[in-house]
Amino acid sequence: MKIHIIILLFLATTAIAQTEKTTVSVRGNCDMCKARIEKAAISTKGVKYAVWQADTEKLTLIYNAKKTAVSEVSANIAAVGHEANGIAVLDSVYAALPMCCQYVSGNPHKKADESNEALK
Amino acid sequence: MFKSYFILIIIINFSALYAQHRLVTGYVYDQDNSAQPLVGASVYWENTSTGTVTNDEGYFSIKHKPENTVLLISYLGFDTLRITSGLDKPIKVILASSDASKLKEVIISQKRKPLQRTIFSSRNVTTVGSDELLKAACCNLSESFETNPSIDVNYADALTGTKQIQMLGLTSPYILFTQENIPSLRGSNQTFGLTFTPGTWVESIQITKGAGSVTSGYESISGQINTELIKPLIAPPLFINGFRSVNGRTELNIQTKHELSPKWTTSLFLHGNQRKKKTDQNKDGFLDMPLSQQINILNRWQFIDPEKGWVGFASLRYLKDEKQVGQLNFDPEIHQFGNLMWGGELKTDKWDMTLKTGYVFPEIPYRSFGFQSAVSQHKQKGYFGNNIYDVSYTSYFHHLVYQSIIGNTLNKFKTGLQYMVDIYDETVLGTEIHRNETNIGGFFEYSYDSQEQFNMILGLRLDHHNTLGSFITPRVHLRYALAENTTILRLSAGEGRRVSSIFAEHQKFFGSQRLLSIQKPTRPMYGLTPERAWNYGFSWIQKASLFSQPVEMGFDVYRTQFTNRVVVDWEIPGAISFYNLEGKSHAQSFQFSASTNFNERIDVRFAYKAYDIKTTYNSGLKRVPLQPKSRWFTFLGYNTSVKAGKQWRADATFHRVGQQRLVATFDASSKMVKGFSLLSSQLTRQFSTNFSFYLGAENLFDVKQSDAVLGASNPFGAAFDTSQVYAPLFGRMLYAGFRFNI
Repeated sequence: MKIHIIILLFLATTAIAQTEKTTVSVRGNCDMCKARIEKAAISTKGVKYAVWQADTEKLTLIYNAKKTAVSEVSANIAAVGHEANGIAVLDSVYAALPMCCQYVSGNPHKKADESNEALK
Repeated sequence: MFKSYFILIIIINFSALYAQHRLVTGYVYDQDNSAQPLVGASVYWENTSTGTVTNDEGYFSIKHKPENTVLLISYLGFDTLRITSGLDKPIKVILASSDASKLKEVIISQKRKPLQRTIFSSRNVTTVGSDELLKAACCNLSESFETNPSIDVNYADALTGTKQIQMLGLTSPYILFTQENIPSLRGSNQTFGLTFTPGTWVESIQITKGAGSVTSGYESISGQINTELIKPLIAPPLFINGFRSVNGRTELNIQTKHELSPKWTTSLFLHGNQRKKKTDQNKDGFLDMPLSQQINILNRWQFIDPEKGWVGFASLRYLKDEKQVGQLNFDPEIHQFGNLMWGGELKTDKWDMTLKTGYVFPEIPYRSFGFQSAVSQHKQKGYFGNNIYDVSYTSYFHHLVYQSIIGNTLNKFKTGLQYMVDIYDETVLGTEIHRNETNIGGFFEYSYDSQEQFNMILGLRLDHHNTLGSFITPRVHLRYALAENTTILRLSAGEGRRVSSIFAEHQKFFGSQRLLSIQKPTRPMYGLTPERAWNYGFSWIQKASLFSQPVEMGFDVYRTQFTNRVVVDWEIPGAISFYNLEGKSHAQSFQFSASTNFNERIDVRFAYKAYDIKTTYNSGLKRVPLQPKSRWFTFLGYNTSVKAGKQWRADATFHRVGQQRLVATFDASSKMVKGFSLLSSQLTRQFSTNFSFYLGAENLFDVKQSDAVLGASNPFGAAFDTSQVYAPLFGRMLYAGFRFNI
């Protein structure tokens, strides 16, 4: 009997719901940003998987399209300070980010001259 | 306004806090006011996005991947510092400048901490890395734990020189041994199985204290030890190791690899060892160490196709091991089964095949399948004097696991099925015993990983065993982190069961004239009930700073409470009996440990352990014999910095083994025997990245048990017994060896 329950559970989780996979542009610099972005994304109801890569500034998102939408996830990420899918960030939120995460003024993780180059 | 700033930055290597990523951690201070940490300084790897800022205490930790080469530290009003060298390994840096334009840096490279206690896992896991394994120069898995405070090493008997591994006060049958997550030390492999894995084959060892994972089986009671062998993909093209000790042990290891295609790699591991010299340091007329020879061959294949998501391993192994024990002048050709000279021989033939495949869904990275399959056969033929014990053990193991998520990746699960068949054919003192065990089990393990404070693993498995029946095995692991992972609390509880292979596990009693008493030897499980126990544990890890050096302290308490146990009773001289527990049996352990990387190159570890291990025998509740009440452990390691591939490494390990209870003999009643101290040391010279030479000594205090063989003068008399061994038989022992690789 219990074996059957285990098998049922096994099958139930294998069945794919209304799952969609997409990538979203999210601004950010470093691993601290990564933790913040991913937390905001995964805390959104309906999001199954969220991994952000700093070098591409892209978030890979797997979510249930019946429960949420990319715009909702993006809004939640913007609310913690990271411009996502073009959704702007409140100045006060941005200013509260640690210095290394303040992506607008260049990425301090890149060589200083490269950042300067980008600013010009 | 520009002041002359002194910046003192101490980047301290707490190093890798978990297995895959190293961490560089440290503190940043303003040297003008050295009590004042710099809060909010940016610490990051050049040209990467990996970075962090220092916290209120000036503390930071940053992941260190191999491709990260330049660490930058910047703070407003200070020059940005570039730390360029010594970063291939975690570092400690003391950096000072009186002038913002002239930075002086002192960089001392430091090896990564070889014993790593996982801080992010819900389970209490310690990983023994390859650096640590080098400290145990000799020679096989049973000897790889001597520098580890969590594991105790006991002496199995006075004949075979075998060491027995113990955790939380319980010997190896209560620890689940796995090799790459496939149970490896079961059934008749119990006694000698660890000596069948050469140390140079091992890449790392994971030691889990307390209840293990339900995915590995229902058998782990006091813990789980998993060994990862060197993977063909990362193995050097050629590795050669030679070893020789003054007690006549010679070992040779040759390991090669071939890349067949970008997807396929294979490696061949050859091992041979031999001891021909007869030694009798305790002057009892018996060999201290057996005469022995072993050939051990392993061929591994690794397959990887990252695009399609498939990975796979296949391996094939063959082992032949021969040992001769007993009196110095025993010659098997002449004296076998006679009563002139006492001696014995043990011949083992073993082969196994394993296959592992894994599939990760390329579009759904959190979903994967794994399948493992292993077949092995182990045949041991032997006699001790006139006691004949032969065993043939064939085992089949199949394991299917599926991993995915519930809702999101914070909630993961593993589920699967396991099928095992164990076939035993034993000849015990002339009686043939056949045992056939089959078990099918399903498991489900849920883990919650908040990536912050709280983690949890809940596991449940349901098994159906042909003699144990159907049963449920629950396991729970909780972890709570406080103050940014500087305080970690863990709780665990779990049940385990096993069938005791009484003869295979207690072969040492064949080396005595004790009369065997067991009610129904030919019935399933020898007419005994399966063993069953709960294990509960609590552990607390505290990271602190002492004289600006990082110190890690650990405190843990574990208790194993048996509901059923096969009691091994040898309290009456000349007798040995096995019966079901009627009464209480428990093993309780307390451990306090502390470790630090003192100064820049000194590694210090300390541990104190206290044990309370008791069982109800027919003669009443007693302390289990040959189990020390306490143990002290101290390790000191030192290494110079690597210059052009050259390095000196030295270490010393001190063990103090406390009082142990001896069972009664014909001459003496049961008593407590005094503790003793052991010291071992090793010195390694790395001549280049390819070649190193090592020299070492074991048992420097020359401690020897003189009365290991009782009744030695009359081995065919009733008083003859080689099973009561509590201390080394062989005194001071020197050895030397080399390692060469391309």
